[in-house]
Amino acid sequence: MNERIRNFVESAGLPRIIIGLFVLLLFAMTPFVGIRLDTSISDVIGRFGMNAVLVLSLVPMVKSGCGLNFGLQLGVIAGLLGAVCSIEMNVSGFGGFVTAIGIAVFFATLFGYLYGLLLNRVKGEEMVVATYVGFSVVSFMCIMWLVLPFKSENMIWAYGGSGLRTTISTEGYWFKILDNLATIHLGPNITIPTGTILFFALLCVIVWAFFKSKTGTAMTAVGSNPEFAKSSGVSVDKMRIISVIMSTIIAAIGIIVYEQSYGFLQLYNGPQYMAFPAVAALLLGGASVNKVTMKHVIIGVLLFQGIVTMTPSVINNIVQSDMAETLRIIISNGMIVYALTRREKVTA
Amino acid sequence: MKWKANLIRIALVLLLIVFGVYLYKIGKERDIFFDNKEIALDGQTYSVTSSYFVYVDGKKVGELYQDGRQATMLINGKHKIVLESLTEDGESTGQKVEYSFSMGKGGCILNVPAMLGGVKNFILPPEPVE
Amino acid sequence: MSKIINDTSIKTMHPAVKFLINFAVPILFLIFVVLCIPLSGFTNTYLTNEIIARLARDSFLILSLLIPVMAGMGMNFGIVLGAMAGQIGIIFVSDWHIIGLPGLILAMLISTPLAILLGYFCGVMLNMARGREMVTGFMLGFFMNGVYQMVVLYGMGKLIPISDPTILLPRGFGIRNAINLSGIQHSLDALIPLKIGQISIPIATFLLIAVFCLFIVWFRKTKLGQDMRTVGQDLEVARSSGINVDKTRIISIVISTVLACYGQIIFLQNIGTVNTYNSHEQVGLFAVAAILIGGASVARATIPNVFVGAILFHMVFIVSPRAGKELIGQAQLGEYFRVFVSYAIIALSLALYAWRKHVEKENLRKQTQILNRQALSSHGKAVGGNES
Repeated sequence: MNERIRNFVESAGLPRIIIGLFVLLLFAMTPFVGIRLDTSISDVIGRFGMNAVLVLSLVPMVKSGCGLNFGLQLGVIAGLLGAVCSIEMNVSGFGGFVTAIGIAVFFATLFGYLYGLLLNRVKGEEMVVATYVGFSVVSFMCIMWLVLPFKSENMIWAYGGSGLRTTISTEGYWFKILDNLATIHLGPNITIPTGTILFFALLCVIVWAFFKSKTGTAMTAVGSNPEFAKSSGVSVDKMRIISVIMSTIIAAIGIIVYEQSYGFLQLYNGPQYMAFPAVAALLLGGASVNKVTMKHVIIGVLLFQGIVTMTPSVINNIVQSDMAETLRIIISNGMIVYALTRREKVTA
Repeated sequence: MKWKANLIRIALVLLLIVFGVYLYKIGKERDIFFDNKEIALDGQTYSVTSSYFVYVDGKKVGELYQDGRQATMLINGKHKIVLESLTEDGESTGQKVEYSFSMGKGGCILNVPAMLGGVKNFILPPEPVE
Repeated sequence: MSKIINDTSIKTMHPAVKFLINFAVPILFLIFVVLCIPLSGFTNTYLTNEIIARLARDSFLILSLLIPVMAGMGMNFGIVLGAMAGQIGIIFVSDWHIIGLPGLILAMLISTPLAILLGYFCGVMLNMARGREMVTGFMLGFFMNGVYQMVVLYGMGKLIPISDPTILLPRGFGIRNAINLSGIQHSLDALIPLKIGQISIPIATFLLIAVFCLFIVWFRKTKLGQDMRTVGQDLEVARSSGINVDKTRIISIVISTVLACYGQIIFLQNIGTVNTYNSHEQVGLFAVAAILIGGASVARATIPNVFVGAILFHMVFIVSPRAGKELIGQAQLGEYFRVFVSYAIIALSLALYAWRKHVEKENLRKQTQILNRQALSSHGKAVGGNES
């Protein structure tokens, strides 16, 4: 029995267990601090839906050995471009949502290809270069958002200004389009955005199926054993580029899913730090710099959103202060540092 | 001998700590108040004659009205205070008086009438807190 | 897909071309700056004054990046930790109302132990993340920022006694967003002032920077310095010569963190205000961008890199907002442009460095393959056996 417990702890990783227990503790404390348990659960599930696809987007690049995608912002920008174009064209409802995704995928493929080329040239230092490439692109887009000729009244600055606003509302277009698809109401306070979750599940299945396919297995081989892959005739560089394009496309879709649930598009510096919570969530789920499965994504997002949602409400009511943001910084960045400093056990 | 090196290290650290305490003492500012209030010392009463602009070490601290108080923070050591007397309307009369004083331990209320009246120790200890 | 740029082909390149490639980044930026200056409309006096002031303010921080590069740790994004230590020192000195030069020196004195501790922690973390030092340093900076916030925004006033209530937030604990350092401001700068016409030069600060440079030059010659260079060049060789690789790497980070701590204090005494929660965040970014603009790389950084980089970087900083405004008509654009340029420099330099490293590794591999094949074929001929 002890042996089994010890094996479980070792394979799950101590930080994960600590955080899991912490989240459960927070949930248990809700009635004592005056928060409704059902609203909390509803919140967490809602945020799970919002964020899961973004975290899913990290999977292809980890599998192919490109490391953690600190350049997630590229996919996010592609998604924002798609959303903004869709609103400009004044398409609403499900049509608008699909248009946004369509345009986003186009941009994402382009960006992903260029990004992949760059990453191939910097093997070994992908993560740092990705971070700064991501930052540069967001800053560059800040200039672009101001300069590009968008006309839609819902998006540009009021009083005859030019350039896009910082936050653009999706209300009236495709706000909550997935969330409200077949929502389940369990009682007065629990809303489960089934549409979003089903969409995420669909994408999960697609990704999982892909990795079972021939290309997918080749990609995994490239990540775990590049020499072996090369000698089997697989083009390492080509696989890496495909994985980067996949990641960027999924990230673009991910931000659109996020926006439809959140209700706002965040331009300018909004996307700047988006990579870090996603990476932290993935690592929290048990992934490492070069090993990941679907399970990690799901558990990771649940745990991370659990902490991020529950800590502010519970702690604020106990300590009468606003430590939530600080705690979130410590936990998410701490997770990433922990993952980066783990000595990987070499698996055959 | 290893412990000789450690001994030197400990001595250096202690030296730094002493240096730190020294810096603290010479650099620390303390509150000082300027009272333009009537005061009785050693049987003599010194009364208020006018309002002033107060300058300490060249910088203007503020206006000191009759029966009023000004405050600033100064480090230990010598300072110069210049009082520029004002008329009823608050205009400067152009008359300036200059005094030197030393901030030391103990005193922190400078009584202006006493200073003008030629009292030697015109810096008084702090008032007891009520 | 990859072309082999091996040693022979580089040697036969014209030396001018080689110079251009090695110094591509600073040259690019020199051209950019020269183009932008007339656009911005600033006078030469104004520019010179600004550059001298900023050099005095920031050089120390950028210089603190040199030692980790020597030890092979790359760009030490962890200098943010040193900056935080320095800020905490300044917070205490402000709280105790210690002014002038004594206040400055005292701040340096009390923040040193903290900086050593944080540097040690950073060094240990970086050792555990061998091969990924830069990302880890970067993330460590964010993490410690959270811890710093926890201490300064919640701990101070409650668990850590603060005697002066004016630096606390209205709610009674936690430090204010901006602390005025009028007491310490310019205490180092104004120590030995010099004014040539319209241009004022803070001699004392520059003297301190010069002393630091001399220290670095001397340090390189000491045994510890030599050890670090060996560790930086080749870990295995260092280990086999009996050098304690882990300890040497940690020491390099500790020194860098302590120097960054002093650098941040010098920076703050020049600016005169502490943005309690923001001042240190950009430190890593700007210092790294500056040194990379100056032509340094992840593996090699010299003192000239620091100053050339500082001047160029600050030029871009000063000149681009105005130039952006003149060119495109929106002042906001200049600001975004400046941020974009900083990030893009780092991305470009890091990418170039990684690419060069990758190409070198490929070359080495191909050369060893060729050598192996030659050895095998000659051996095979001698023995007359099969070669597989």
